[in-house]
Amino acid sequence: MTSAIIQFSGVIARAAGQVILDVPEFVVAAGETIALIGPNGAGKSTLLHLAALLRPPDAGIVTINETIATGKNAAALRRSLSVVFQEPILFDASVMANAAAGLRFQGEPRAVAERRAGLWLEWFGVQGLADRKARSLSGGEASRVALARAFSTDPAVLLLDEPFSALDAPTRASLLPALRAMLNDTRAAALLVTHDLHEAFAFADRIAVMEMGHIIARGDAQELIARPPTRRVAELLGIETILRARVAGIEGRETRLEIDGARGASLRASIPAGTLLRPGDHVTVTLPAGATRAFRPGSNGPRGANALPGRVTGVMARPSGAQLVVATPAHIVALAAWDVCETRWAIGDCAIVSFPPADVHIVPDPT
Amino acid sequence: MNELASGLGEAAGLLLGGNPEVWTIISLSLRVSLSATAIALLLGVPAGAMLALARFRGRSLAVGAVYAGMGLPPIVAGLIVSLFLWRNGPLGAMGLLYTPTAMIGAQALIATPIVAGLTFAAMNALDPRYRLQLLALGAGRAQTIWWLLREARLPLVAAVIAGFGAVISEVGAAIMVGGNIKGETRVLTTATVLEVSRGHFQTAFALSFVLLGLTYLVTVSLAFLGRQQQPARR
Repeated sequence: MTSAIIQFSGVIARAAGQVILDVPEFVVAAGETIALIGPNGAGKSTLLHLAALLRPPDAGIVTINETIATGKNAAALRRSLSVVFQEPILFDASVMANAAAGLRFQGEPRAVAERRAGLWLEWFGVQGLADRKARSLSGGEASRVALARAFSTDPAVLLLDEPFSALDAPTRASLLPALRAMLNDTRAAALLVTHDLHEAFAFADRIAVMEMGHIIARGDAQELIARPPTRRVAELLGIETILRARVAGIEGRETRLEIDGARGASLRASIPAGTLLRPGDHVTVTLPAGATRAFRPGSNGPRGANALPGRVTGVMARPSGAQLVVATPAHIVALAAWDVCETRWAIGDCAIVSFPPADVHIVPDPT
Repeated sequence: MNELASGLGEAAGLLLGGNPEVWTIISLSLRVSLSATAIALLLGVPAGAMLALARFRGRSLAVGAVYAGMGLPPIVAGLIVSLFLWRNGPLGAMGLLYTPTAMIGAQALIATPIVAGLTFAAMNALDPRYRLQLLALGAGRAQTIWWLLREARLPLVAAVIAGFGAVISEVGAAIMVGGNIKGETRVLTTATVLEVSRGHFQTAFALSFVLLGLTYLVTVSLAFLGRQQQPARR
């Protein structure tokens, strides 16, 4: 078992008398990357501030490397953590002085601190700016300096509070893989607060979904998308197709489901181990677009247990292919690969949506 | 208006003519006011920073006291220091009354709340995320205060200028604890008051011009120290 670097036990945080965070248990283990996602006000940033020891819990304990954090030892414990905030907060000094600040605070001599910080500035491609005033940098440059500063102290955990939200899409697209690669190289753990689901999935091995101050789901990113525990978690994870259906029949390990309000349209789903279904039961099912294929009738598309014909009611071009909304008549979001797009997809086109029964997930808790 | 113009001429004459009495007055003015400002800097900046950053019982009371102290009339400051320095006062044995040291003490009492109050305001106006970022970087208490002071150095320079301006121009405390003794405790303001009382308006104007010029030179030099501060980008 990997060792826990940050551990929450029975942590509660309040603001103006209201509980804004209630986390009975939460662990960031060595080397793992976790993304915290959830709507505004879910408590993501509060959790990150508690993990960074920037505020004490109102109840419960936070331990860092098995030491319980107190007001007295917080400054020392913080030195194994690095925080990058939403906007890069750089001080009115040179880029190098900013990048080396954490090391200087740890008592490193200036020459050592600047040499080490210089390596990180180089890694993030901003070594040429070392002598510039930090306040004269562009947003992207400042973010790179803030990341270099965060890595320069060789932290066991990086705590990232939406570090890319102020950046334009191309800059974000170039920084995210750089950060991910750096985390792999250094084996540092990371906790990322983000609103951006793509960012979360691109970044993290594990996802924690938060709402109303609680962690309502957590687990391996791919596993959570494939099998969200509740309907709400599926919504917060951005799973494109969520349907209500009625169990019409059971055949071995599969069930035939009639989609509510879809005039007899039905699909087949694998029954998860341990789930007991009876004909007539109402269930909620999720189907990520990535598990689906849309193709034109008559073309050589995949065939299987689920091949639902319908009309395209929405088209969104994506680098990975076209994402279609197909009324089957239930609305299913499906992907069409570029290689089958002989002609451009348009609203009103006929399409067949195909997906394997194993990828239709019956949500255990439909709330 | 004639006095004004001839006063300007006499001021030039006093300075260029190498009048030793005038130069003694100028150097004492500078020595007393700069020393008092330095003391105010050493006491007021940490006090203002502590008020802005620390949370303790009675903090708002302390902040109120500092703000009230910013308006302390020089004559009251002089009286308080005199009470301590009079022969039968607690510090009477030191024989400091009517010495430049007493004047420095009284002027420091005037300038310290001004520097502390403006430091408090400057630190409070800083974006709170700076402090959070310093904590997150593992800065200790002293390191946090130092970096925050650096961040607020433009308004801090203004605080010091305000403190210096208050003491170089005051007359009540200087007369009360200094006594305006020729060659010993006479400064530009007390000398000006004396010349007016004698009816020597031209000399009074001359001394006033010298005082204005001196104040201008010192404040510009202080402002120059804060020149590297660049406006924060938002």
